[in-house]
Amino acid sequence: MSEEPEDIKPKLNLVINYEGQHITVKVKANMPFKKIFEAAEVSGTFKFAHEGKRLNSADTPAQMGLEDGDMIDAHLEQVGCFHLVS
Amino acid sequence: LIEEVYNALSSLPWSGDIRGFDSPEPIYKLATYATCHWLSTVHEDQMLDLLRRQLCLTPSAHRVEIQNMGFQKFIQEGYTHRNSGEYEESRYFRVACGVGQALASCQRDVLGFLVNLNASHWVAVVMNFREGEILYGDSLGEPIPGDLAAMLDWWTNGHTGLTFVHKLLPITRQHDGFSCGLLSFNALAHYVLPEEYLLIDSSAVDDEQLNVMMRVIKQHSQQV
Repeated sequence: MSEEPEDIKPKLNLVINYEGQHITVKVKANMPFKKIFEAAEVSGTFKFAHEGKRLNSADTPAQMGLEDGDMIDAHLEQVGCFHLVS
Repeated sequence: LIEEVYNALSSLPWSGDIRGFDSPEPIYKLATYATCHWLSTVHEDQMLDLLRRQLCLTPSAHRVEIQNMGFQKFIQEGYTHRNSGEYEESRYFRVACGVGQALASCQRDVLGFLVNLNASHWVAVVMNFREGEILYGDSLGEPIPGDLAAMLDWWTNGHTGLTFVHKLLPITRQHDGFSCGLLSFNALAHYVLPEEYLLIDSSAVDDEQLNVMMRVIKQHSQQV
């Protein structure tokens, strides 16, 4: 017997945005974000958020209320403490 | 204090995530609080989480909205596409629009958040909708950059139809190369909870970072 999660249709198109560059991934609503993040990047250095709220790898689009066409923001961890005047 | 930190660290596992915060982060990231390394988004969000919890327990502060590190991006993106109508229509801006509407309709009075300038410097922004003021705090004493001021003016004006006055947010002046992350947070916290958060003495930033670390560990420990 398969242990794959139940296939929930329809699939969602989620747009991953990094500084204006977009890629669209088609996913099941019950697919853990871990797989989606891995599809978007392999290095694991990005953090992902929807409407400003961090998405955790174990969560799913359905749990977080994402809908078809929603955008996920990818960003690098920022640091600070000197203002470099250009 | 250092002994307390050593004791607290000895009770933590070497691996796993910090619990009790919006974003689970690896435990090793706590170490930055005990160094002169630059604080990152992770640490700023942890401090903002702690402040939000404290505000929830303070009845007089229920009209204060503290947003996390992602909020700046929504105003910035909205400003960039200000002539397209996207900000008003797109689901992407739903949260920023909702916050703006809550402030403009007097459900909230004050919005505070932190901004990262040029991926290298933390500053604090407070918008007081009741007073019609935008307050900006930079621990290096620099004035608000023109593009940031224009962006904040666009957002406040778009939601209220008013032009807000720009003022300086009281903030401890930085005399080192690493404390802007702590001092900008402290300025924001002092504005919304002045009795609980005094402005830090610039000579005490090392101790204060350890105090924050202890609060993060305490929050984590309460969840495990």
